[in-house]
Amino acid sequence: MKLVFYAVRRAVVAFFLLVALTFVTFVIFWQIPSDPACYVLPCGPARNLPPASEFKRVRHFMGTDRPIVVQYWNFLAHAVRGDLGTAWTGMYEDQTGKIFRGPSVGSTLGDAVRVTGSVVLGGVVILLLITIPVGLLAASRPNSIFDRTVLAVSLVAISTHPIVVGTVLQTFAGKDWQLVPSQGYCPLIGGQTAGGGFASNQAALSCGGPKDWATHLILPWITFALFFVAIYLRMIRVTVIEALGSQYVRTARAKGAGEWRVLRVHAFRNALLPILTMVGMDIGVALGISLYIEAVYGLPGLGHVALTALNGTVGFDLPFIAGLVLVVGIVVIGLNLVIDIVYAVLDPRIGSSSRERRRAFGGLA
Amino acid sequence: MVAAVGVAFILFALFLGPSITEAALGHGPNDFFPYSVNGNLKPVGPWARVPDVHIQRSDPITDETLPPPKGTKDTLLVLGADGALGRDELLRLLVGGRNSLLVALFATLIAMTVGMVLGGVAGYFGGVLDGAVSRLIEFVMAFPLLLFVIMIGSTAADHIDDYRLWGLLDKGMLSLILIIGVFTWFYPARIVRARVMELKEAEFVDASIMAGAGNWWIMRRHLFPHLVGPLVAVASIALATNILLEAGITFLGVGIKIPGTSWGTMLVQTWGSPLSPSSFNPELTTLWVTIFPTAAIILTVLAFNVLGESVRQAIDPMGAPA
Repeated sequence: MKLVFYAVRRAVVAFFLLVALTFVTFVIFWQIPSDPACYVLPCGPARNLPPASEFKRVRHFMGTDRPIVVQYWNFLAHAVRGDLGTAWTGMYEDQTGKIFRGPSVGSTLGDAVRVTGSVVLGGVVILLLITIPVGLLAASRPNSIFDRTVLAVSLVAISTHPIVVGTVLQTFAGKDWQLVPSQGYCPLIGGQTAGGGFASNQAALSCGGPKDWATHLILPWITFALFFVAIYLRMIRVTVIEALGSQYVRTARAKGAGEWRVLRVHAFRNALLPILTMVGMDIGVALGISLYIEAVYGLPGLGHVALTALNGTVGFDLPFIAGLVLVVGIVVIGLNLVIDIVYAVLDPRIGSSSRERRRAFGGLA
Repeated sequence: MVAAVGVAFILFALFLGPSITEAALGHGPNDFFPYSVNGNLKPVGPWARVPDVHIQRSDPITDETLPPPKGTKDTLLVLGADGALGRDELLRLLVGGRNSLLVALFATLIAMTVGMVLGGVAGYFGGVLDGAVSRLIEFVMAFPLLLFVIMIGSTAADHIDDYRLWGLLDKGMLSLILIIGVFTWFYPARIVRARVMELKEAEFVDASIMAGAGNWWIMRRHLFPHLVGPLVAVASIALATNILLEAGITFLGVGIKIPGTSWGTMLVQTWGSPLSPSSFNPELTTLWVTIFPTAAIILTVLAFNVLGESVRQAIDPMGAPA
């Protein structure tokens, strides 16, 4: 019951965090001088610009002539119903003066989330597949040659920019040795895809299914995992070494538990909770790293659409950016919420607040 | 000991190295040597002697490259040229390294200080303070760094770019330091918070309370020594990621302004931009211009990590070897 109360309280806070996040985005982007009407009408130093009344009409159509608080309220009111509106990029006006809306932000982001989600999820799996066994092995023989080598190699991995790692992997494994496709994205479910929005190749136009999905993403996954290997490896190693020196491991050994059982049952389980926390903490960083990986491998993910929206010559595509911030915020905050709740379920110590323990000291503390 | 010498050497090379090397070679980090690139603008490799002229003569009719004027002396590019512009790779590596290191060190310092204070307060006092700090952490974590970078780039950066901390920083470095510091403090903060929450329940803290110690005394004398180990470990890794983060941010157009440079900038300059990345083409560029900055970053990170480990062991000999 206490747990349910905790979860509800955290969910309410998460909602207000998301509101704050999008509001800050609105305020920030209103500080940047640009005229949204330029998405529809020609702007710049040209002499034959449309009349001011035309600009006024377009601004009214877009709703940007209203106060920013009203605009934000409209965004929020639509967003809670799952409607993120339409992007400014792609708006146009036909001969008769009728204005057409741009592509739906929700569906564009939905496609991008699937790509980035595939990269990050697969990358985390590969990361854990590498770090858990290696970390356990290294921790069971601290300061051995194996341990030292693993640490040094992981430092080399974190010191190399993902762009460099990605390009090297792509050049050799993808192009020279032809082991796996060197770029493009294939959906897991369904056949046809538009391929990479940029750097698209013909092969990507007709592929799909689990096999194509995995072979196209294996290089991005490895690139992603290599960046995080050093941090996770160290963390697992330290936690396991600490656990191996503890009293309960000594007890387990005294009762005749083998090395493998001690590692698996007593040491590894202790490393699991910190791993969970770190995955939650790193998810924002992971989305940033994913940007470079998407660039190298030509994947139409969140990083790519974000750059496109920010790279506009006329200004910034506010509906798109606000939608993006909201989606990223939901992913990051939501994931951390879930992790905290799982944590509370797994580790009963979190539930017992320190206040209760202090009471046991007779109010001394 | 080895690590201390290594770090001392790196600092020496980056802070005094540029002027010494400049004097020895007779040219500066921003000098162009058009004869150090071939027709495809592919730079020469290490240890190349190129004519010491800053313009390239070409035949006005056939557009062919003419040899440099008679009597031109050669100059030595120890690590070759840096790219299509034909500048000295070694000198730029030294100058850029100073910038990279300054950004990474200051940003790490800011992040560690803010993280330790906020995380420590949240973990120690708990309650409303903990809630507020935790929500702030989530806010920063969820806020896309990229957008903030673009925002800073188009509004605030211009105002603080010229502030150079008495000439210590190149133009644009202060905004980099602030951006990286502001967006990475939550990492140490969460670690410190979790550790403090665990530590304040320990017997030695209770014993200290029994003996009448105040909050400040407990934090300083009993909790802080336990935090040094994890913090040093985090800081030495953060140093590496901050060097790369600087590269990423400069990649997006905010940060160090030309002709200033950094390892990150040198690293990514061959690979186009995030929207139109270029794949490796041996006709147009050499791998050297990627290998040298990468090697420099790796060596620096290794040296600082080993040094951090020694420091940690000296302060906290009981802790697990990290």
